[in-house]
Amino acid sequence: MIGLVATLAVASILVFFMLQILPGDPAQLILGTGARPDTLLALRHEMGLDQPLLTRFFQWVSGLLSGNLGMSHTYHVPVATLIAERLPVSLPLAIVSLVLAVLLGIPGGLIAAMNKDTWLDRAVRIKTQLLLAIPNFWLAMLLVFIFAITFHWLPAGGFSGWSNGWNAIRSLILPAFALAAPQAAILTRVTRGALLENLEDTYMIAARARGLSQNAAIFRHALPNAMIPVVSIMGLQFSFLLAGTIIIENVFYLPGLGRLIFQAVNQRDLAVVGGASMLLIASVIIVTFLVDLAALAIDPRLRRRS
Amino acid sequence: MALLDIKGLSLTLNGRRLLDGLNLTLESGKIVGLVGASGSGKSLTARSIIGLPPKAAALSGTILLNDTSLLTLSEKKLGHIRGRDIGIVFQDSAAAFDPLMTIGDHVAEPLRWHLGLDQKAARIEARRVLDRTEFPADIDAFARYPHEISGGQRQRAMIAAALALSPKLLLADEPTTALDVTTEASILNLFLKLAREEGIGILLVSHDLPAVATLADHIALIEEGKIIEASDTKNIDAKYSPRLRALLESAMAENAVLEMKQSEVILRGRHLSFSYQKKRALDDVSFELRSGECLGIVGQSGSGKSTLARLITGLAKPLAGQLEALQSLCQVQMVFQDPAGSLNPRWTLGQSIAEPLHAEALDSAAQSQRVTLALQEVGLDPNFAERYPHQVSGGQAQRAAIARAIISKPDIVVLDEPVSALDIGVRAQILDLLDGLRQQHGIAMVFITHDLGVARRVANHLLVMKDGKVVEQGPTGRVLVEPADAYTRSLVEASPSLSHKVFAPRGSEG
Amino acid sequence: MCIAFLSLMPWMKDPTFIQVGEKLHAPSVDHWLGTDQLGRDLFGLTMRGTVASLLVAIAAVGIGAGIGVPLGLVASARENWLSQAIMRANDFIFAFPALVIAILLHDTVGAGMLNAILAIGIFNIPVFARVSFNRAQSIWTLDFIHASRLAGRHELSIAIRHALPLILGTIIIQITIQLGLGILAEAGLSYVGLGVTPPTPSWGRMLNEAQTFIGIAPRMVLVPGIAIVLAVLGFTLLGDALSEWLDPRKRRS
Repeated sequence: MIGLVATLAVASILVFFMLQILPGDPAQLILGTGARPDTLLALRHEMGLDQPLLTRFFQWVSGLLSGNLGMSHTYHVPVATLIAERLPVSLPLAIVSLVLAVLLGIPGGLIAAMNKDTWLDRAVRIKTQLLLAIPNFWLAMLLVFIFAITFHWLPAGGFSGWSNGWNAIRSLILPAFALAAPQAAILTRVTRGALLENLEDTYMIAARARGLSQNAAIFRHALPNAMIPVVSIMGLQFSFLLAGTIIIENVFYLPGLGRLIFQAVNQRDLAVVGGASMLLIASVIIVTFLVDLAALAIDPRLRRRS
Repeated sequence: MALLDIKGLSLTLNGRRLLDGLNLTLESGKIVGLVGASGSGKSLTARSIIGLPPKAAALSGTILLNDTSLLTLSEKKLGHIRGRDIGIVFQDSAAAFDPLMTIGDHVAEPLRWHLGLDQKAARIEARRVLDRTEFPADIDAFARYPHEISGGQRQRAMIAAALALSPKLLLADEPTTALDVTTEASILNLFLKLAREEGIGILLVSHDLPAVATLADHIALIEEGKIIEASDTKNIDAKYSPRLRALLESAMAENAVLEMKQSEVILRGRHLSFSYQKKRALDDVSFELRSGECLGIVGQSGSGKSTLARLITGLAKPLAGQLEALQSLCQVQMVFQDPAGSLNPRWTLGQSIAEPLHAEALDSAAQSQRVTLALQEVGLDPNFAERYPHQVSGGQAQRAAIARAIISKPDIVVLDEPVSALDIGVRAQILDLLDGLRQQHGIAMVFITHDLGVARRVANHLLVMKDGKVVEQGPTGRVLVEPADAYTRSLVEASPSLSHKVFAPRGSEG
Repeated sequence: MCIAFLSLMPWMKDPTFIQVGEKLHAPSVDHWLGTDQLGRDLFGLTMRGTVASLLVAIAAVGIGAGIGVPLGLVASARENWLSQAIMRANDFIFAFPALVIAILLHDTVGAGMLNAILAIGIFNIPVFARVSFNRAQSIWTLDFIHASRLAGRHELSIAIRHALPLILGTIIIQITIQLGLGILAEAGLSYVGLGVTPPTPSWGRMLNEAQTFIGIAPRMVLVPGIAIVLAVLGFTLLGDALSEWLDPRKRRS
């Protein structure tokens, strides 16, 4: 718990450093080199840049803690409000694709491992390798081409808001699949590898020797053990999933966090970039922490040491 | 009628014949020892009986269990027999348990699977079975995971899981190899009790002939997948079973213990203490090592003997006390237990052997000459310098490790269980080699072992350790024949290779 | 066979880079795969895209392995405050996805190849540190390392002579994996405009521009995408082949 807080604190220092200090004068950056000195001065004052660095940092951190992420200078709206507007698109998208990846990925690995070296195993492995080589935003474009442009089954992009329930779900189906596909492939690969490794273990032979059938031994013993690496990979994959969400939102013109960040990057809206980046990093750190807790719950060997 | 009757059992795997027309019978209530070196096919025999040989193996011959032919049964029918009529106990109890499942649930599993008991009923029954195997009653087996209990306790639990449905046949595959001597003795006693009192037929697979000889009614010696000798244990006759007799004698060989003439002390430890992870591993240990002497350090795992070895080599520094070398330049080298792990797999034996010379800045010709010399001293052909560890046997790898230890002409060589990973025959050769090297070069040796039989063969002086303390020390002959300390006495009594009952006819109780 | 894929890509550099009025032409003898919205040859562009893609991936993996492997080795040697600090910092950097690093560095470095290289490279450091740490950690406890200490070698010499050669196989395989991932990451960054900038051809950039024309000229979407898939597959297959070749169990028999 202390580690978690410390990590978040260091992350906030780093984000502040990279956005406020490394690039030089933020006000200059926003106005460009041709700006008049008095406008520059006014903007500096407005952004609080004329105050000492340490004061600025503490203002930023105390803002983070109280949910006040500053004002966006392009929208003239609090950053927190902007993010809160966009989360109802990004969050469901990330969660749905994670669930989809688990539902598609783990059974795939199980089937491949149980039928090792048969055509089924080979088919699953080829599919896995292919999916891992495909950029998800390209897969998204292909899905748009097939399901939206050619067959008109699903919308090609845009989002009409949750008030329009069914349409909202329809517009998230393709993005969720595009995001889930490579994640599912990774889970398949890890599940298959971990299972095959466990199938060779002495405790599997011992379980068979107690009379259990091969399938019963797999479901009772090998599969729970294989979930240990699978869960830790899911934790590691979360940051890829977030990055994927940001890119995929651009393919489908979804008004989520991703679109917000890129508009902010292009308009040099540092408050928005900082607040949104901090949110992404914090969620990765917290998910890693939760995954460690999950590992503790699964594996009694970890429990005793702590 | 025999409980188990194996006739002409052969097993071929990837074109290699690993079992070759093997015959074996076992009666109810009897113990048959199947003894052989690693790779002789003894474990494969056990795996074949229970119908779980390696995947691609092709089996032929017959295995009859109470007149049921096992090799022709369907997988489903075999499933009914496994666990119900045949139980098996494996060597490595740490690997044979699912790490995510409690000990008690392992024992309950066959009860639930075969009898369809619910969890509560199965747990009550499992606790009863655990009691039968003398699993400590004060341990809540349903709350403990495999890594939380000792190896001996795990082994009892594994026997309990195998016996849950009271099978008539128990296969024990090296059940005590990973255990300490005293634990080993109590587990072996348990087997004897199960056979005599419950009438279970036990096939005891082992490489440890003296241990089997104290326990089994019959012994079969297996080599390259064939039973080459079989005998009643009571009289292993030199005429009919020459190999068994010779192996047993070499394991028991009673070398006249050398009384050393007093040479000068070269290393002295005073009041040494050491802690590891806040646990006291070594507590006020003092000793003397004389030049040309072999000091045996004996004790069970966790007694602190390996810690003492690390201090002597200088790989670790004592927390308190001093280690005084009484020569200005005292060089220490070491030989380790596992010959495979002590040689870099990517280096040739020659490169590894030459490593202690790297500080001497020799040219390559002089260096290879030294390597050749060292190889000859340990009885290896000079062309072994070009080979890689995986291309040589365990005994040859250990010879190479010894060559590396002596090439720089050290004053002291520390040997940490150097023969316990080797087969009996090879073991004797390596011990002879070490003895020869010590006498020829006057190297002082510190020999760490858990096996009193081995210690008796090589050591002039013994240091008996328990819980980080020295409980007794003195000349080997005196310590083993008239142990002054109760703990030493219990060690001596639990050592099969020291006990005298092996050759004596056994009483009616077995 | 798998290397054939790979070698085909970089060696067939075709410097066709022309802007003519012949835009959105279908495939012909002049333009094997047709032209794009500015009349540039799609085949030539895709070939040139290989350069940016490989350059970014190789440079980034070079940064990752060059810094990560020594860090992992040092941390694995002893258990002390230094190794603790290294691995903590490592896990910390891992919380920053390459994309977020690219966003944060954008204002300092500006969009372009350097931004992509730095972002992907920084992200690769903990990957290589973790892999070499895990692999080397078990090596440091082996008996031949103790023997080497007794032979009088110091830690650095042991790390270079014993540990590094033993983990090299694992590192090389990881390099092929990361090169594949690097190509994917570069494509992603260029697609959203944080990587390679317009005049330089890049697959991610091409896909971004092609998106608008997906209904009219789907081949503009297909061609660069297939190029990415082939390049990544090439590295994956290369890695698989290498790991099979380096596996001592398979090589011995």
